[in-house]
Formats: sequence, structure tokens, C-alpha cells
Amino acid sequence: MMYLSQAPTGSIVEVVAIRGGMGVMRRLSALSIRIGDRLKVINNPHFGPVLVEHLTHGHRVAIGRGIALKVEVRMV
Amino acid sequence: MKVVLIGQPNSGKSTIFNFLAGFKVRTGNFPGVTVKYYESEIVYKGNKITLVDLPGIYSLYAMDPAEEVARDYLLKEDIDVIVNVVDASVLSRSLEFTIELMELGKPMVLCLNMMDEAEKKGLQINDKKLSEILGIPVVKCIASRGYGLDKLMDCVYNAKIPKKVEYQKDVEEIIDELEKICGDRLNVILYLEGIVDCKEGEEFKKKLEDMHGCDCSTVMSSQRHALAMYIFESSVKVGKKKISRREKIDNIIMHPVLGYIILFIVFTLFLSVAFYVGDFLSSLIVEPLEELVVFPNNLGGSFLNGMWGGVVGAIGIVVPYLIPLLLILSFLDDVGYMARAAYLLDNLFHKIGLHGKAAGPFLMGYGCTVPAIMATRILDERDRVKAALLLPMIPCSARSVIILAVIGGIFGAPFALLMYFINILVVFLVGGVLARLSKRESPGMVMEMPDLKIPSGKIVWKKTYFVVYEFFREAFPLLVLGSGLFGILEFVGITSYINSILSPYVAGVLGLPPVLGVTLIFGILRKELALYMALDALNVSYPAELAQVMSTSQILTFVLFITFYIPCLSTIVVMGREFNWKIVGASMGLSVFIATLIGFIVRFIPF
Repeated sequence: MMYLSQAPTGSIVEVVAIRGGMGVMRRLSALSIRIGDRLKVINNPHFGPVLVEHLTHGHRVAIGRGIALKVEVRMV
Repeated sequence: MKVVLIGQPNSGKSTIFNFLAGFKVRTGNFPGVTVKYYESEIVYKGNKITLVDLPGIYSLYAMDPAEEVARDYLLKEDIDVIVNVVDASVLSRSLEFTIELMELGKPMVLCLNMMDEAEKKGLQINDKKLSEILGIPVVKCIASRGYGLDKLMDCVYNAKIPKKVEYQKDVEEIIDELEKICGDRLNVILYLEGIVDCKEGEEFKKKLEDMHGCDCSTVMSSQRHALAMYIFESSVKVGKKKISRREKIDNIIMHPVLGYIILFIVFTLFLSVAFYVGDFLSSLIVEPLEELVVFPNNLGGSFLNGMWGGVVGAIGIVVPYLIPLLLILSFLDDVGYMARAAYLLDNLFHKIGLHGKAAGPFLMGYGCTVPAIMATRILDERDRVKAALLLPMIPCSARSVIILAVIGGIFGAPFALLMYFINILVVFLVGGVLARLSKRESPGMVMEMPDLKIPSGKIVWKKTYFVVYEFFREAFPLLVLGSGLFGILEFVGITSYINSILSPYVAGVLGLPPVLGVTLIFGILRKELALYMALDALNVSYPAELAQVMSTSQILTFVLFITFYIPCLSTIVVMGREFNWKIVGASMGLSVFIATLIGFIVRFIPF
């Protein structure tokens, strides 16, 4: 188990849990990122935001480091 | 007939609006908040249509101010047709929002925009099937090229009330039960999303939450998700995705090292082009305009002269810089580069309690503070206030003129660069302090990264036009009136009186010649004015000659003070319009305090 902030560039991960309040949850689900979704980590420079591609919908989302620290993922 | 365009951000909704709208566009302000919407009257095939462009939102129920106002607008206003614009290349996701809109029970049209992008991603969308499932007309279009927009307008007349949304059986049962006690279906949905109250319904809400093991709004959101996926799978064939050259370009411009080098080059170019074009246009306009009319030297004449000065300032100085700045910026925005800049700069902006999205307004600030303040609309409310307090400290092109002419002219270009460096340092220090003072941390960035694309020239131009139009409608009248009042003050001979009042501050605290007192006041009108008046007051003809009448530390104090103290009148006016006068007061107080502090410190540095 790890956080999205730690997922290496190029890896494919599945969202396991979203910590933090309803705010974080709603902001992510507004962009269709939910528990169980698969994301491809396009760019994670280990500073600054993580860029992911949603594997079902195909759109890309930049997730700030603070929020990426609250998204629990597992490698697929 | 009132037609409302609504869609998620980056769906190309505004592109459609700009394409269809005439040049007469009104901006509306939602009561109580600074979220704006655009409205335009158009005539299509002999019929008059009021077209409304609501702010782009992801959902009606995520708790963002723009989303709340858009939701209220859809619920309360008298709307004839809702046009839901979606980015067809992310159809499965966009359909979740379409389902939310269907629940409103108003006549609707679904506009599948960016069909070219969808095809590149290998999506084959069966629009007839989709239309059948949803029960509303579906139109394919590519708004950036104007393709399909005629058909869209035709469909507006055939808009239909969508079919009833069918969730899972157990959810529908709960909704049926709630309809008996909490009003109609829409009201029940709003209740389940936590928007309206219905005390009698608590029992059923609890039941739904227990059955699904999460809170109601999450249940509804995953219901919509499942439904959207079902609709998507029944109407779309997913083929092979073509790997695009644009993704390769993306990898370079977002590279952890190369990305920053490119960013630096892009913005140096951006600022220099904007500066040289602005400077060139300004030099063509200002002098002929100034000489065009001269009013007699009496009370009324001085008022008119002052007002004319304001007109010249707006047309000759603000607009020439504004137009190239806005053109390049909306170009960069439409290409998709601003989102990439925000991505690269996110870390840096966290240090001042903001996040990457603030990069756009801050970079604009180097051109002109007025559009920069307007551009803060992309931030959420509290981040906007922080940005508004810091933005006036970024040297705009007018202040750059002073820095370059005085510091560059006397001490050489490296020292002028040093001024910019000191400026950035101070902005970061102040921003850091503000970030610690404010209790709430910036919520962090979750931002969609739109695909890179080639923008349409027409749209880039129209976006620029709308902002310039707004400047003339809102800030211009106040700027002209304010300049008129200053004209009277000068005529009545209050200037020497002001100098003597300000002397303890100007000479005592800052250590500057007392005659500069009034120039600092007039500098509020237009920052360059402070320089011209200072030359006049000190009896020299070129900025470089200031070295003969002032000491090195006096010159540095003067320039730094002018860079940081109260923003110009146009900025004050726009800030008042965008926020409220309390924020304007806070910004002015803060900037005077910082300018004084810096001026006072520099005074004691031995040169």
C-alpha cells in the first residue's frame, strides 16, 4: 500500500482509499476519480503535482502534492 | 427565447458562445459573489435568442462557489433550453454531468464538441443511439472550426425534455418513497445531495446510506457513474488510439528540467513582445492625443484637462499594453500552455499560500495589473483575496518603464534586473507571511490538463475583445472622472500645500526631496506620471539626469517606493469592482506599509 505521491512515473495504480474530508473526495470525484479507478502515472517528479491519466475516461488530471498525499493506491 | 450553454471546464463551451455571440456582450454578476456569466442577444433565422454562457463546472453538487451559482441559476431562472456542451473525447466522464442536468426536467440538447479529438482517441460515437437513450437531440460539432454549429442552432428549436433517469432498483424505490413526502423528483435528488432539507425523509436517507455503506451524495455520484458507463458502452465503439505527436511535445514541455527552461523562455518572450508592442503603440498614440485638445486654464478647464488626461491614459497607455498582453495570453491559454505552466509552478506558489493556477494572473501582472486582477477569477475566493493583495506589488509595464529608465539609465541594466529580483524576494516574503496568517491552507490543486491544441484566431481575438470592452465599460468612466478631480486639485493650488503636509513623511521618513510629495500622490493616477512630474519638480529633462540632483540612495528609495506603493487608479477601480472596497483598503494599506519599510531601509544603506 502506498500513496499516489509515491507512485513512480509510468506505473499503473488503482485508487484504494481517499483520506481527508468530504472536500477532497468531492473535488476528485468531480473529475471522476473514485475508489476503484485505475490511473496511469504520467509524470511524478517527486516535487510538485502528480500528473495522471484516467484509464477509463482518458482525461489527464494534475493533482497537487498535498492532495496526492491523501490518495491511497496500490500498484496494478 | 432563453438558451443556456452549460458544460464542464475545457468542454469548449465558451468557444461556442464566442462563435455564436455578436460583439454586443453583457457580463452579468451573480448576486453576492464574483462569479460572472456572459449574455448575448443573437438573431437566428429571424428569431431572437438570448444566449447565456454559464461558468464551466464539473458537477452541480460539488461545493464550489461557481457551481452553486450555476445550480441556482438553472433552478430558479426561466430557461427555455439547456444546451449541454461536452468534450466528446472524454464522453464517459461528461455523461455523469449530463445525467445531473437531465434530472432538472428542462428541454435539452446535447452538443458533442471536439469530435476531431474523440476520433483521434479512437471513439466512434453513435449519435442516433445516444439520442434515443437520452431522449434529446444530439449534435456532433467541432466548435473551434465552427463545424456543426448551424445544426446545433437548428436543434435548439427541437429541444426535448429528457427521458426519466433510471438508477438501480433499490435507489429508485427510495426515491419513490421520498417523492411522497419531500416533493417532486428533482427536490428529492437535491435532498439526497444535501442541497435542500426534508426532515421527514431522514429515515429513508439513513436506509439508503446503510444499504450502500457510504453517505448519500457518494451513493448518488456512483449511481450516475454506473449509468454513464452503461450509456457510454451502449452508444460508443472504442477503437485503437492513435499515439499523437502532441503527447511527445507534452513530455518535453512538462519535463522536470527542460520544462522550466522552456517556461522561462516562453515568458521572457511573452513579456518582451508585450512590452515592445505596447511601448510602440503607446508612443504612437499618446502625443497626438495629448495635443489634440487643450482646455482653458480655469476651474472648469482644469477639470476637463484632467478628464482628457484620463482618456489619454486609458487609450494611450493601458489599452496598448492590454491588447498584446491579452492576445498572447489567450493564445497561450487556448493552446493549453497555461495549464502546463500552472503544473510546473505549483510548488513555488505553495510557498505563498497559493497554488499553480495563480501562475497566469501573476505573469500577467508584469504587463498590467488590471487584467491580472480580472484573471484571478480562475482561483477560489480566498486564494483570490491573497492574490489580489500580492498582485499590485508585481511591477507592471508602467513601473517597468520607471525601473528601466531610471535605474537602467543611471546604473546600467544589471541593476535594473536586481530591482526585479528584490521585488520577487519581497513578494515571496510578504506572501509567506500572509500564508502563515491565514488560518486556512490553500485547498491544493486538482486541475484537468487539457490536450494541447491549435487555437482558433477568431476565438483568441474575441476573448481579448471582451476583456477590453469590459475595461471600457467598467473602469474607464471612473478613471476619467478621477483624473478630472485631480485636475481640479492641481488648479486650486493644493499641490504646494500637499507638499508641506507630506514633508515630514517624504523628507523625514523616506529622506527624499520634499517637492516629490505631490508626485507620489499623482503617481496613484498613473505610475509613469510620478516619473514625469518628478523630472518637472526637480528641473531636469531626462531620467538619467536625476543622478545630478539626488543621491544614489534617494534614487533607489524613490524607484522602490514607486514600485511597491498603492497601485494605480485603474487597478483600484477594477479591484473595487471585482472584490469590495475593504479589500482595496487592505491592499492599499499593505502596499504603503511595505513601500515605506523598504524605502526607510534603503535610506540607510551606505553607497
